[in-house]
Amino acid sequence: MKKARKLIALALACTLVLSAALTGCGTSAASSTSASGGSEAQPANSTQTATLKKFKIGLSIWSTSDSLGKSCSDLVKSSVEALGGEMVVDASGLTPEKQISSVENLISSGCDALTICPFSDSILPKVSQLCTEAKIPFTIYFREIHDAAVKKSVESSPYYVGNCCEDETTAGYNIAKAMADKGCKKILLISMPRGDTTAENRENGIAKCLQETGMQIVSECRDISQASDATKAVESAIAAFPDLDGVLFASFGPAGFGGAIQALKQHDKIGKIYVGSVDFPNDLQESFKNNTVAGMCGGHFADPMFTVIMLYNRLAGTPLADKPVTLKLNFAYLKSATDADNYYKYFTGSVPVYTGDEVKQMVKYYNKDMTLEKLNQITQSYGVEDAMKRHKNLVK
Amino acid sequence: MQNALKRILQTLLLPAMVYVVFLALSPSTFCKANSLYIMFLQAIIPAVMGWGLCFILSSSLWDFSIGGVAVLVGIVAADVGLTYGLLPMLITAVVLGTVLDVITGAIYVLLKIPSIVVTIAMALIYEAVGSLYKTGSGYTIPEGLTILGNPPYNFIIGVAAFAIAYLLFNNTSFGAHVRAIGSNERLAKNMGVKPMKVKFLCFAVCGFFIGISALLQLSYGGSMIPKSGLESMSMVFQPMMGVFIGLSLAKICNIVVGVFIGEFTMSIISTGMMSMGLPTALQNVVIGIFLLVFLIISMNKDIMLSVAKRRKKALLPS
Repeated sequence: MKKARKLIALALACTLVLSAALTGCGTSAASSTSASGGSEAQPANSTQTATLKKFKIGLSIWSTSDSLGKSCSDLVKSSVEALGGEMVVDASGLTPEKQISSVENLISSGCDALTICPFSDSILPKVSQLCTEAKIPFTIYFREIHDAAVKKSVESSPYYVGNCCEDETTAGYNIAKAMADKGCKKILLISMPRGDTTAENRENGIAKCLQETGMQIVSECRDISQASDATKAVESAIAAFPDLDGVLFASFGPAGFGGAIQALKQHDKIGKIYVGSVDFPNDLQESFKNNTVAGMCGGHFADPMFTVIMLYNRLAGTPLADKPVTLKLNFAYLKSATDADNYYKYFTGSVPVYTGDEVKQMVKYYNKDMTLEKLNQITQSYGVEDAMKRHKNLVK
Repeated sequence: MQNALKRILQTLLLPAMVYVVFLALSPSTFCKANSLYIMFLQAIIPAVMGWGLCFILSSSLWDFSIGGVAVLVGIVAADVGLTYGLLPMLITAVVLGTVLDVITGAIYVLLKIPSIVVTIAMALIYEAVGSLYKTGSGYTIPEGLTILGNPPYNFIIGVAAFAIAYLLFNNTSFGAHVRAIGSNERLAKNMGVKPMKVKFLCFAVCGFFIGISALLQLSYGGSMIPKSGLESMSMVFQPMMGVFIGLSLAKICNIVVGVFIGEFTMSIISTGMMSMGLPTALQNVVIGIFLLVFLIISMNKDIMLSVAKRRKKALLPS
């Protein structure tokens, strides 16, 4: 009995350590196989060697188990590997204290640079301080700094390289407008808990549209965890507001969309209540065909890849600018089942949205013609059409 | 007969009172039979989870791993359902739920670590396994596999789960042992009950109900995604609140019935607050206050009544 107890204690300790490593302390990308499968680009400068030093890039992310987090992490991994580097992921969550620990973990695991999606501006001075003390460059993805004092403080660090973000306010506005155009008057808002910068910006855009169109948010839900939570929220809203005609996901779309559709089917509201979402869920085609979707925007999972490109340019000694820069990435907008088909084909298929060769071309070390303006052009042309144009011969 | 009727009325008093309050505040919503029907159906999933938890809490244990178990069971069952169909999905959910909680129970019994510590550690492990399972991004099941989450099937499964919980808790020696340990573990031990064996069985029974609730949850929402960083623990709290209410109602009704009443009451409150357009943060404040007030009143009912009697007596002319 004692022996069995010891064995189980040992097994439990091992599984706990393994679990912590998988969920909290990061996953090292050990393999260096290129995701591109293409030939290696030549260095821009003939005096430089063909491959860069194997840099270790840290990705601090809320989670890699949801579809957006997984897409971000997969693309960053394939890009870093294409550049001959190694990726370390810390999926610590999206709360201020966890993110500070995440940065500390990435620094102590020997990262040469890191990129983070901050919960809010408030954690950035500490992140900046930690990276400056450790002398490692850092970037921000999915976010921009709104607080002037924080911005000044962060930008004063010689290790802050810049950020990449989307126009969240416009995205919120556009999706709300698409719902208003469908004739929605009373909608249920599903979003993140208050305090999240991105969700707040989207809600600002939604609020602007509400003022213009007279559409009204009759209820809100901010604690979605699984699809069944969304089903329950939508069912409750149908019970509470019989004239409900819209469900707007400012966040949680990937997790909750299917659940919302379940509730609509259950209560025979398909085609009577429209759904709009920022961030794409899976299996949108059927919903488009059923005329359930008012508007969808998302597909911006390439954002952290661009901040990693900025870091790589800096680490390679070929920075694209001598001061912090902001890249603006387009959202992809879907309006039909065909758009959805193309999105899944070109963005989520076996060929990454940017191949290893394309990634290398964004690093000045490999492509001497790469400039900040060109990188900006790439981010601003991002979308379904752009991916179709670039990969028409690659994607079957 | 009169006594039984009185007890039924007393049991239904709580949801009836809450319903009347919201009927006054939001008559357009609460006047409709359909709204009541939706609230009733929404109470089924947390109630099934609550019946599992009721064995755990009644034997002075905690189980925070049930959210992680439900997520992992949902993911694996969805995968099995997509490959083999509905019946294997159902069997997988029930068997896997039981097996996972048996593992948790075995670790608790063998290591004698407090259940709160073991179950939090196991929640982390189950979440991590769910994140590593095949694609790592969860599963969405097609419409044909979601029928168990809709009426009448969810109702039938709910009734079957209720019957099993009721029989196990009231008509078996295991149920009697659970109640004995819950009242006084030392006394139960002296009477020949083996507390560790009973507690291990409590985990197994809890797992069985969590398996069923995971199946219902998967069928109800149509998908299940992995969770990490103890996010799954948030799934424990709503059923737990219902169980707290059920435990407080145990004096006037059977605990298994009390748990359903508790979950139904929570469902009414949640829809009621939504109909009033309260922000989520305020909804949580209201739920917290309601639970506190209810528990304060139900736990101190006897003291309050005796104080009231004494005051009344003192006010009477001598």
